[in-house]
Amino acid sequence: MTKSTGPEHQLDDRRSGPVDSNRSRPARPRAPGFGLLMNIVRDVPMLPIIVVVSIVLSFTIDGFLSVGNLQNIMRQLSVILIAVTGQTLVLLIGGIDLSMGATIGLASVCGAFMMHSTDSSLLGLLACLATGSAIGALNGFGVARGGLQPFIMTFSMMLTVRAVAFLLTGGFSVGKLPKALLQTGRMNIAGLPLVFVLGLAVALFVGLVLSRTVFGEKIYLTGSNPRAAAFSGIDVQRLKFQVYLIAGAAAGAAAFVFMMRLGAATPTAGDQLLLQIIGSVVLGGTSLTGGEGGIVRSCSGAVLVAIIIKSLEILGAQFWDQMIVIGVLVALGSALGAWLSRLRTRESKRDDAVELLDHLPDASSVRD
Amino acid sequence: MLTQNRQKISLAALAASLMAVAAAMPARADTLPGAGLSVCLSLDKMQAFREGELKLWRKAAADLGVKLVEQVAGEDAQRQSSQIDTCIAQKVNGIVAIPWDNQAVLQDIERAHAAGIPFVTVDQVPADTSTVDTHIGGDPTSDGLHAGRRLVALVGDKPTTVVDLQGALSAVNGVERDKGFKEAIKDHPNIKIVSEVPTEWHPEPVLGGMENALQAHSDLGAVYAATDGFLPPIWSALRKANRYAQVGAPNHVIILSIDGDPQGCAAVKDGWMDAGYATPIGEMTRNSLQVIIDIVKDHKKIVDKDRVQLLAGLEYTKANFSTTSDNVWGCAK
Repeated sequence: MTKSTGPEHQLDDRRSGPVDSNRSRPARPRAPGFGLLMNIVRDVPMLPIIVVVSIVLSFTIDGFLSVGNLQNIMRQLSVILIAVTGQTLVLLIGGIDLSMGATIGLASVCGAFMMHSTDSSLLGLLACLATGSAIGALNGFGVARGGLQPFIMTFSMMLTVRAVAFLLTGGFSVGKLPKALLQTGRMNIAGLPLVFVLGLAVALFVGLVLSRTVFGEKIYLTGSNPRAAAFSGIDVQRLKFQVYLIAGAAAGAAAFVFMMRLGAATPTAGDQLLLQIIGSVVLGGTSLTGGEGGIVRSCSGAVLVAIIIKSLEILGAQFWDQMIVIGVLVALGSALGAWLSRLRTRESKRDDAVELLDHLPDASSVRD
Repeated sequence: MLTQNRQKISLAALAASLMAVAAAMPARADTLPGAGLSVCLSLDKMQAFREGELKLWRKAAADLGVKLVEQVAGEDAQRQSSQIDTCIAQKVNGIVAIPWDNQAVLQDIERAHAAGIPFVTVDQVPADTSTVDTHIGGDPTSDGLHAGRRLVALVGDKPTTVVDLQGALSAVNGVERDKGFKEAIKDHPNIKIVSEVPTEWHPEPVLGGMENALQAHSDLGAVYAATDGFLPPIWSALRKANRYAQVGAPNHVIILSIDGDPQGCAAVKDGWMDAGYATPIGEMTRNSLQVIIDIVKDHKKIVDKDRVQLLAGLEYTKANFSTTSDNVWGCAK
């Protein structure tokens, strides 16, 4: 699929994509590079913060920039990177997937059972993807066709899926996975942990789909204005179903990487992940109301959370201290995101006004 | 002559004083067995029982001269794994962990060993004990068994209904405490478990479970609790049903509980609980650090028979309280 050049391009105003340079703007004297910096801040608000925080931490924490520590941060990010891609798509259409953590738990259990009976990691991966997709499809059906509120649908799914995972395992985690899987999980590629490379690859792929395809455009339009999306010929219900399906599949993929990393599947795998996933997405600047955000933003939120958590760990802060810091960070990040969003809307309105003035006949020529 | 004697006496007195002062002085940190060692302590979660353990770990570390690097995983296997990675990167001398996930910890053990760091698990047994340098824990089956036998002794042939407040059925301690208790009462048909409440170690389900049981069985005879953490909701439900009475009172409901935390200790001492089973956590925490010292400093090789140390709990009742309370960690001042 290629990017549409039709009326759907009006969306550029609402999202974080590149600013249309052909648009006339009021000329403002700016320092060289200032515009680029502002664009970065607007598009990925957490990126400058990540840079500043990393510089500060590299001077204050012994070994922060050591290879071992950076690899640990990357490993920690691997599962989250995949999961946030699915959650971002769902949030972009104005939904939410509360069952994502539980889905990771159940998918990991199903994948582990499959690997136990076949000793095949590939079949394990397929079992994870199938389980995740099935749960995503049910969510999608409930929201799109059943007309259920995403919160209600995915909340009830979370409870059900978690219970099924407990029923299947009796609450115990499932280990003794194929040795090849565990060895692969520990591998590095050019110094980067393989699990992180996998997470990054999934995030890049979904990011490209979102920014370069008609499907991505449809997601943004549906999230910003479902009614307008329906008027412009988008099958909104079908799109919602597809997005929840993809989110489920992403949770399945995250479950497989989870097993590669930990060497076990556990029904409680996702209990703590859900808040981290939603926190990362929101911190990155993806709006909970839909239509605004993107994969790069969500991943930047996840990176910031991982860096902060790891640094606090090294400093000896307990996990409740870490949660307080993350909680404050999410609140501040959301406030920053909201401020930038207002800024964008104001600039957009101003640009539209300037454009309108450009097209109006000159008052003096009318007088003549 | 007198002067010489005086001098001798003065010297002897001085020597004795110096010896007394030396004995009274705390041992120098660098002469302690664990001096210069840093040990990563990775706890699965934080609740009352873990707080008690943590206090004793800190005390043991101070006594042995070990520096503790404390981490709490907050019931998250991924977080625990990440924290252990941090400890490995910090090049600690040993890792002591209470694993949240008994399968996932196997990978952590493997990574630590690959970095040449000994790994000891405490309390929650890993899925494969052959991978760990040593596992030190309570003996949950024995604790449950003793509680069951105590109930049999207390009720004799009297028909008795029991509420079984279980721990986490995904954890060995939860499962085995339950199994031991049931094993002890299985040949006594007069004792009937009328309600089993799985709690995941959380006190919230206890209140509901107790209220339901008391509603259905107003003549409830006994409660078996997998942990002392359940005592407040048990008492709350009993108060509501007018069954809150001390040991020996006609309306009393027999209560047996495991852990030996401060609540349990006070309950036995004041007559609100019939018997408690104190986990020997003082011994567990000290032994775990000693194992690390033995491996790192004395290059001690762990033989298979020493790999798993299960320490049975101590039964304490009001009758034996004066002789047992010193060994109940929750009774410590």
